[in-house]
Amino acid sequence: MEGLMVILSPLIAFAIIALFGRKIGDLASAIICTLGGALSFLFSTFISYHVISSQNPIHLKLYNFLPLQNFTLSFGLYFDTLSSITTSIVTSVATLIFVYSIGYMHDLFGQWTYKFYAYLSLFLFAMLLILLSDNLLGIFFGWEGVGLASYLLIGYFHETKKAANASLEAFTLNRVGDWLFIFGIIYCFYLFGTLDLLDIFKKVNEVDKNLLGVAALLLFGGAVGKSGQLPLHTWLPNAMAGPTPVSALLHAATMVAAGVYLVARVYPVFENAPQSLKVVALVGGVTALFAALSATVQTDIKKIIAFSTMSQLGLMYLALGVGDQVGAMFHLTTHAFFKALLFLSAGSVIHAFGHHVHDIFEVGNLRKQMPITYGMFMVGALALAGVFPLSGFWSKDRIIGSVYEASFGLGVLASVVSLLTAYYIFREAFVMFHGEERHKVEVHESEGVMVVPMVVLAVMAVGAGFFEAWYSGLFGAHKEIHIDIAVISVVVAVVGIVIAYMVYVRGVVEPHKMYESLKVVHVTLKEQFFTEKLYHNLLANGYMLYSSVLYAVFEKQFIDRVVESTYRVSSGIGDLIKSLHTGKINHYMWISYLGITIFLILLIITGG
Amino acid sequence: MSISLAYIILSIFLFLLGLLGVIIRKNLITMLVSTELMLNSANIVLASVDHMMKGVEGQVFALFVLTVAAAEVAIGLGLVVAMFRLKGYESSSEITHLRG
Amino acid sequence: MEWIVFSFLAVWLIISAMGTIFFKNPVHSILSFLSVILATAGIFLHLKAELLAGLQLIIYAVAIVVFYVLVITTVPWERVKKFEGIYKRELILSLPMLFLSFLSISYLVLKGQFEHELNVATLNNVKDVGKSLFTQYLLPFEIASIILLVAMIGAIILGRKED
Repeated sequence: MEGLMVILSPLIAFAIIALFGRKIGDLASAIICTLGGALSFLFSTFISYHVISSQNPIHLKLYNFLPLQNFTLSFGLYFDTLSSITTSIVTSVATLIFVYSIGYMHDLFGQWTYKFYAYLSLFLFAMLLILLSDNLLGIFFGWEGVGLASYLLIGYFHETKKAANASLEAFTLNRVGDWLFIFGIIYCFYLFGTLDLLDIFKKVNEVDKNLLGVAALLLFGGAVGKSGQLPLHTWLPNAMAGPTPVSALLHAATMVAAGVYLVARVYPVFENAPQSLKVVALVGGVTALFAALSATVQTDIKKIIAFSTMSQLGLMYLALGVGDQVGAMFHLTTHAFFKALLFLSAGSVIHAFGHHVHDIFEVGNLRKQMPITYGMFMVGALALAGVFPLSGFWSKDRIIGSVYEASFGLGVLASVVSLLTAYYIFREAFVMFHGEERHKVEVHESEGVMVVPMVVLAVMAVGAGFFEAWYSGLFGAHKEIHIDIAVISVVVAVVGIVIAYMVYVRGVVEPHKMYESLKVVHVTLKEQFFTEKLYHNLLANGYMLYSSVLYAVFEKQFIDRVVESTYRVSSGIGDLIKSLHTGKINHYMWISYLGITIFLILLIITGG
Repeated sequence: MSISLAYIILSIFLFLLGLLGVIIRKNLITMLVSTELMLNSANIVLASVDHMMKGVEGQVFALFVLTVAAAEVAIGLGLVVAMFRLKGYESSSEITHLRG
Repeated sequence: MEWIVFSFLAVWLIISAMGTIFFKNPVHSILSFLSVILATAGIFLHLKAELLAGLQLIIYAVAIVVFYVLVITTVPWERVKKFEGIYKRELILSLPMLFLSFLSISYLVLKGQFEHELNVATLNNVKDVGKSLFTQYLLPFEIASIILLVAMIGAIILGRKED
């Protein structure tokens, strides 16, 4: 019952808002949405407590919706340690962001904003389906659900072309991943004869390693699409066209992490096909570096954080790839807290400027005017940079430790990424909150309804790290901290912060002059190594060209001809028959007597 | 071959001539006359069969046919006249209302 | 002797029927039709149906033909002339068909058996027919009179000038 309520409360909230949102108004919709999230959080906490204390997974079989001959496709919920804890985290972050969004969207109330909350509730439902479903098809259902919600929410400001394009791009690139994912599911069914996760884990040793690797990679393809990893990454930065709570919830804390969760969920499949893990590690590592490099030169307030998300997700995949599943999941948890915090702080700045400011160089010295936001952003940035003793330190340090254990090269890569991370996030912090005042308007601190969630998230972002030992213990994967690596990590983080401080606060070097002198590098990084241009120009325009050629050749010449000729043939036959239909009595007499003659002759022939 | 059979063959020929008249004539009145030819041929058949079978039913029916012919001429010519007066039609080629 | 009469009547009938359908002028056509009626009456006489022959002469030759001629004279002559003649294409199209059907009907007639003999006819044809008409076929006879009445009323209504 509690298990069902976890997943049903957002769905009920969605149904109420979608059906009656217009009548009950935007504020009431927001409150219902928040209540749905909060209820879900309470129930999931209860269940987590239950599962953890009894060490016994709860498996709810809801109903069989597709009985086939020797296989029954059922729908059910599966609560084990992994899924129940992740559910609690997701619902808690989601609830906080829902509360925050009441303040953030307050200006827009009265403009059908209830839709926004309906989408949010739908998203939460779909996300919980991914987390809790006990079979791959249920996960796929939720997977598509979050894709849909993501599309709707990115394009929420659909009056602007940018948002509409971004949502389309997100949808298209997700679709590529989803194709791989569904092929993975089909392939799994082919391999195992079942889609049930537990059954798959039981049979995972019985099948051929190479075939299993293919299945794992196909599933990983879906995860890549959803998490915005290379090469399906361009949608994630552009998705920042959506409202900031959406960016915080979907594109930082939860939805993009669904890919990581999926890999962790079906980890036995990956574990038994070690080659596939190398691919996971490679993709994760390259994406981490790539996104960190791009983030260093971005100027959009949210895009920097978006690239940071990509980079951190890359780190998680790297951890998964080197075998530290628990580290990846723990980093996912802490990342959800501090990344949501960063986004909410950024959203607070954007909100203060009436949703018009998007460039970090348009504002400056905000710490006087928005002290709380400044503090929150700093906490988030320190956590992200991995400074002791904030949560980011514990989780990232664990990952970096695991990576060094696996391979020194990858470890160095992870350290470089950490350095870049510290640099770019503090670059943003220093440009926005220090320096001279570049903005002209008077701004104020955000209201309480936005500040409270930020404070709660900040507490979590600071404190979550201390639960690392407890968290690892739950999975029986405890790991000692490598002091040397921890020290190196902190030093690296501090170096990154100091560089950012020197450049943007002290002004040791003039940043814009630096950009000018290193223009080639700067442009390359800013354009994401031209991948976005490549996709847009080569793939999208190529596809358009291909379509127009097809239209001109195939559609015009072939299909239209066929269609037109059917019309011509039928109208020709009609014309032919029409000439019989003259309306003259003489002709009718003739034709009717012709019939009589034919019958007479038939009569004689048949022996009358 | 008896004489009655020969008259039946003749009446068939007459019937088909009447039909030919209906098919090929342009004028409505002559079309009606052609139908009279067909009715006459029917009467000849009835009379010949009577002659062959030495009965009178055929002639009785021939009388009814005469009645029908008279009625048909009255109505048919009335229609032709009315049509001419109201619409100015005189030829079958002008009556194409059947085409819709 | 019978065959000579038959041949004479047949040739007369066919020639006048041809005239009926092929004469351009409707008046000539009607006159030719009168000739057909006379030939038919002759055939009836030859077939020993004297009553029918007499009625044929009275009803057709007098009533119907006069009616036709009357109607032709009421419509303007120039319009009638305008639609004289025949459709040539239809003629060519229908000839083979009619020939075929003539052959097939004749085949069926000649192949058929007429063995049944009623033997009710006596020498006095008028009496026989009259008796049959007013005893066995009295109801159809009365109905025929109603039909004629209806036809008369219909013709009057149709021919009436609209006011």
